[in-house]
Amino acid sequence: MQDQTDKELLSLFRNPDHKSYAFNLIVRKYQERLYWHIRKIVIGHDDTDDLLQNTFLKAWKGLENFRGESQIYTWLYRIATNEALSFLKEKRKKFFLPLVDVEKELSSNLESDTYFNGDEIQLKLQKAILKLPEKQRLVFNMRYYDQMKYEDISQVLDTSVGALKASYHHAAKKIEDMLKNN
Amino acid sequence: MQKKNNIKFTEGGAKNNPFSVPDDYFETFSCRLQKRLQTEEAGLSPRERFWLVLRPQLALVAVIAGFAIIGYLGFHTFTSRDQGIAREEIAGYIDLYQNEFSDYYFLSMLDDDFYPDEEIYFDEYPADPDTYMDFLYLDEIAIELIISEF
Repeated sequence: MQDQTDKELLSLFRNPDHKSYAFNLIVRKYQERLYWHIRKIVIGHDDTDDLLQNTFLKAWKGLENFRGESQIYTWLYRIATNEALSFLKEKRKKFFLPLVDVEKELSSNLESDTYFNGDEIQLKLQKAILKLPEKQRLVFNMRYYDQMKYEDISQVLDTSVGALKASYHHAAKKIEDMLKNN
Repeated sequence: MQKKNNIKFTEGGAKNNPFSVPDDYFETFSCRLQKRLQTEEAGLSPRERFWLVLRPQLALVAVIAGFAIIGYLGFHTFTSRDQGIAREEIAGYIDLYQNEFSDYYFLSMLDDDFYPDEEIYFDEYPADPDTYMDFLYLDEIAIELIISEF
């Protein structure tokens, strides 16, 4: 199942008899990576679950028109990132929260999260990551945790590789400083 | 603690994921997603789909109609108030001409010199028919001109 390439999955998806089967394979192939990506943005498991479902629902509707110019997984990452950022934006609007308060709320969610198993240093690291500007946080998570290539991150975030490299190094420096000063 | 905090973020280094998920979450996810897909696709009857499409458009029409009604009512209120004022004014004139308009007032309108005191219009001079006749027979009055003007 894992060995099937994106091209094979796409051609299977375009066959009406195998559409659901192919989509199921795509979901199984990418669900975990996308889950962790969203989870690191919104922190809570329940929110992540909703957003992951929304991501795949959008993919189901859009995959028909997917022309295969990029890889499926960068395309899915893009949808997932947009879903997660829109969720945070909605949250800010709904509760009239400034950016800093959302970060505080996410930090406190982290502490009360039953599905957070990290030790003290990991908690501090996650809190430091939450203090980063939104884009740096995304770049840091995708590069450090998801180990994505800059070229792929570039496709997801629509930013040049050079800018991404700078962003990552700024983020890493800030986190190091935050942890040292803590 | 200091030693622990001294992390170097080398790219591609080992990363521990501090988060976890409920048991069997990933094993059951695709099943739950399929169910939701089926609900979303088949859950809506054609009528519900129709309403789903039509509802925002109806809402827009309702908003426009609401504004139109508010505009009409506002306009109507202002214009009817003006009409009310106009009616009161006309009623005043009718009352004046019906009850208080004196013959002297009429004569003074015909000729300012007849009663130079313009302030005295209303029944302060005796209504003497001969006076009127004398006045009307005066040669200086151009009756045709007055009639053509009025």
